[in-house]
Amino acid sequence: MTFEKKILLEKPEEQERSSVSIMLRKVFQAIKLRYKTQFTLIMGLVVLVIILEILTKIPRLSDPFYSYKIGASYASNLPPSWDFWLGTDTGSHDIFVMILHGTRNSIYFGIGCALLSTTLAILLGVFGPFVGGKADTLSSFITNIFMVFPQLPFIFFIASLMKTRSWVTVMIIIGSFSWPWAARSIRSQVLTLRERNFIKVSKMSALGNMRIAFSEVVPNVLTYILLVFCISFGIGIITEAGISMLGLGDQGQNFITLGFVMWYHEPYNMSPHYYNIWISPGIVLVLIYLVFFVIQSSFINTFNPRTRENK
Amino acid sequence: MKSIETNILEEEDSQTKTSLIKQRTTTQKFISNSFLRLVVTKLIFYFIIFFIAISLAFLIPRLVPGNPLDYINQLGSTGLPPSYQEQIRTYMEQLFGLDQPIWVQYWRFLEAFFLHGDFGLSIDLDTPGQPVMDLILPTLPYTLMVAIPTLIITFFLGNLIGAWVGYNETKPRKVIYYIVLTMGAAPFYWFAYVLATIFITQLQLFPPLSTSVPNFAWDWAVLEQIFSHFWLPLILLIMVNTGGWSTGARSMMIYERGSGYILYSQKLGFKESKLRKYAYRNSLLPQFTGLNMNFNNIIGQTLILEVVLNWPGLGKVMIDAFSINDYAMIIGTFVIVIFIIVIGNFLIDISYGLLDPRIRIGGQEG
Amino acid sequence: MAELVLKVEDIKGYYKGSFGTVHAVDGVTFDIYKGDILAIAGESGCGKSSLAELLTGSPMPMLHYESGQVTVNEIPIYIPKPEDKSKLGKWRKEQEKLSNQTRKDVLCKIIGYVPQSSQDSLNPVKKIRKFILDVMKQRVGTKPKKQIKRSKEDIKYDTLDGQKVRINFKEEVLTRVREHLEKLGLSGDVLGRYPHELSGGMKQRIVIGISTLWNPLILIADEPTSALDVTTQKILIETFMHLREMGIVETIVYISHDIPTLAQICNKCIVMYAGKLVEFNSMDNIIHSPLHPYSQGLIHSIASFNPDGSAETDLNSIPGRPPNLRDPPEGCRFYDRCNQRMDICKEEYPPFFSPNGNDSSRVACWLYKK
Repeated sequence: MTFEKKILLEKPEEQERSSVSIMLRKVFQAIKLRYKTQFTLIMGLVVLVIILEILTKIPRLSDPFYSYKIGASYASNLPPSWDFWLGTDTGSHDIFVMILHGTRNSIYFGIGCALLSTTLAILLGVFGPFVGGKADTLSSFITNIFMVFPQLPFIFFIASLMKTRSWVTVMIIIGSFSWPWAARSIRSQVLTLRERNFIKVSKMSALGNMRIAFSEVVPNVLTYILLVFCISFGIGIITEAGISMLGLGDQGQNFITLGFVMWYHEPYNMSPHYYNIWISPGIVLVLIYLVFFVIQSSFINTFNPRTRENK
Repeated sequence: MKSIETNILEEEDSQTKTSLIKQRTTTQKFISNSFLRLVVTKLIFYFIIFFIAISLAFLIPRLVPGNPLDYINQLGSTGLPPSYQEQIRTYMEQLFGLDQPIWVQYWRFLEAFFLHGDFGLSIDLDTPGQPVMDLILPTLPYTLMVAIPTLIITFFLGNLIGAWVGYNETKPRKVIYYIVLTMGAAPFYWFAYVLATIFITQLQLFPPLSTSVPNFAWDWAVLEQIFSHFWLPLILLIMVNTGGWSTGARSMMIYERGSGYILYSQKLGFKESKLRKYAYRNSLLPQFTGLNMNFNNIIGQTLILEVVLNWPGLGKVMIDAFSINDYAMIIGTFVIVIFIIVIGNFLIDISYGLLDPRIRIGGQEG
Repeated sequence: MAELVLKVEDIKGYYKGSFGTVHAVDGVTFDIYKGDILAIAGESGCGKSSLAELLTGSPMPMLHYESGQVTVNEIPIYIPKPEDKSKLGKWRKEQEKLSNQTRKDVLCKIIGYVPQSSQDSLNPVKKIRKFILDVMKQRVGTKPKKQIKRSKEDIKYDTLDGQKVRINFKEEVLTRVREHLEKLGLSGDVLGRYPHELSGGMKQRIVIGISTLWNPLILIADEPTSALDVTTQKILIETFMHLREMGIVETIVYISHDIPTLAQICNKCIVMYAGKLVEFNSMDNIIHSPLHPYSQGLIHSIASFNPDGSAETDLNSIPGRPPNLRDPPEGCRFYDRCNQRMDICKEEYPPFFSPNGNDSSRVACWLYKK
């Protein structure tokens, strides 16, 4: 509520700025004011990405497929040591470097997926019910169809038919299939919001639909949108890793993800002598997923005052 | 004394009569108009989805490289004997009308599935020239015998744990809850290797992954062998899928616990156990709507796990077909998976309609 | 002197949660005699509903009994909390045991409760009939059945709606229930409906019907009309007034912030402010000559009209807000908003004074110190 008040108290000249900058400011303020925990965690993720980005630029760590040598001989199949923190594989590649690159790319992949599916979810979840009428019926019909549409087999299907798969294609496929539940929950939120007075007032004051949707509705369903973003991120990373692990992901060597690392080291799977090789990418995946899980559950607690109060 | 007894007897008699009449009326109500309407609308809805999916299965191979003509032309490089190549080529051209205009091809495609249930011949070197349906259908029971129990067990187990935690949030309960959640966070394919290492390599409880599962037969020894392979994918899927339900059930339970009818029933002097039953049942109901998506997820996960754990289901056939570009097999497995999912979703929707009176009898929505 | 049915002695109940401790009911004392229709008035958040919850002996989860005693028909329903902290665990167990006993003996039979949110007070997935049978089962221990074994021990008797009923017999119970609901102006076929098929007023009357099935000594109604439109409110108020005439309930505690409604039904009134009882008086006195400055303010903030449409008195609201109950002030809680405040008000909470000389009216205000 303090947030709404602040908006009302804004000086008139600020109102005249472009609606985009106002919207961005509102969104940022809302995040900062209402969701401190989540804000910290998301900031933490940004910092992590920056650190990874810097690390992978260091010459020693910049090439995941560099075959390291000790003296004159190749350093293949080494156990973890100070030089190679997670050991090396048969091709003398440093597992740690591979995982570093894989983590960075997986996070990028997840963000891309999440952006795509959140955008779709907003389009169908906010604008459909907001515009109303036929747009509403259509958007809810599309959502319902995608809701029960078998995504994973379909992703397999497309991925297997394409001879040349780049990570962008995989991302588009995953991203465009993982939004329907999100659209549905945003939709129900918007439907209750639509009946609230401040939206009615803005409609009466003849603001454009788009303007209202962006400056009034979106900030108010922001929690949902952020939650959707986090969940889609998790789904994106996990699904991509699953697909890549079966060899249906990007096969090029310039965008290696954690799933690719798993696929690349498939022969080591379950081998009792090479735990360092096949366990570590999975652990990193679990860690990333858990961080997002914590963010998710803190969001759920924000939604539901009852879970928050009954400690 | 006597009068009371005869009284009771008489009452019994009249009561059974009235109860019979009542039963009839309730069954009539049960299959009421609105329920039929639900069945019909759902039927149409899922048919549309199935139709869209099957159209996509027709369309996409023709849009991306990898279309059936390419596939026919590539036959020479598969290493199949020429006699098989010729047989497959003529069969496929005839079945799908590959030399005809595209709408005729589309019609032939639909016809092939809906009328003949035929998707062509396999080019797998182990089973060359066999109709793909004959190869796919025997794998179906394997996939379903893992997926369906998982769906049912995880639904009840996950909700039970979630509701149990939500009803009374004590420390030990929360610890169990978070353990379940963390297990759900693990990427299941990787988790499969971890579990396989623990159960097969270390504990030697189950047969090694390299041994193949025998074909189904009504023989005790064969069944025993099949089931010895069956537990690992089942346990794994249950571990991975329980967490998702628990989160939802917990917040639903917290919501129901504070809702009006629980508080009122408490004021009417209900026992704790009955209140818990009320809250549990009502917090379970909205969870049913999540079954659809969960079913889709579980089928997808089963498909991947089958490859990882060497379980001879649909997924294994599917991925094998992917690796050798067996067009007929890819289309066939895809359509069958869609078919399972659509049928499953339909049944779930119908059973939800049976359970919730608000849907069954109509009235207010929500 | 009429028979004493409910005795409330210095009851305190606090909300406890991650938000802190809210002193919702902070020492309330009053008696209810047979035949009273007692109003509890006050603005939202003053602790009216919390008080009602405490009177039933099983308050809602976050509301905790702190101290004091409630005696219903000579049955105490709380065990005083021990001061020694090491004995708290034992006390909690004993209190739970007593609460279970209270649920069995007191609720429904001696105290009937009509909740505030009657719209969702009925289990949404059960038919009314099934819900009532569940209530019976909870009361008796066995479910009323269509058929019963022909041994004498199985038959249990109970008094429903003032008449003796073999409570194991489904049909007999349902006939009695149907008659009872018909008295409240409902047709018998509501029993076969689900709650979502009924209107708000019907649901509310069914809730009243269920709460009064055993003809309890006291009926506690917690803002039963707050969610209804004016016409339905009127019907309900009439229902309440008829409850006594039909001999269903004699003593009613009616909680509302709506003074005109209270004035129609009740003969005695309690005014609460910020968790404390500020005035106890007859309804007529509250309307015409309220004693406490807060009661005066409350009465003056009601719009009343002459038959010609002109306003009878000036409409005044009470400036300010009630104190924060997380940390209530030492002195009079109305001090900040009072227009007749004195120095003593800030330092000490006033005891009860009886300006009329008898016990029928009491007021907690230093103005009436003799």
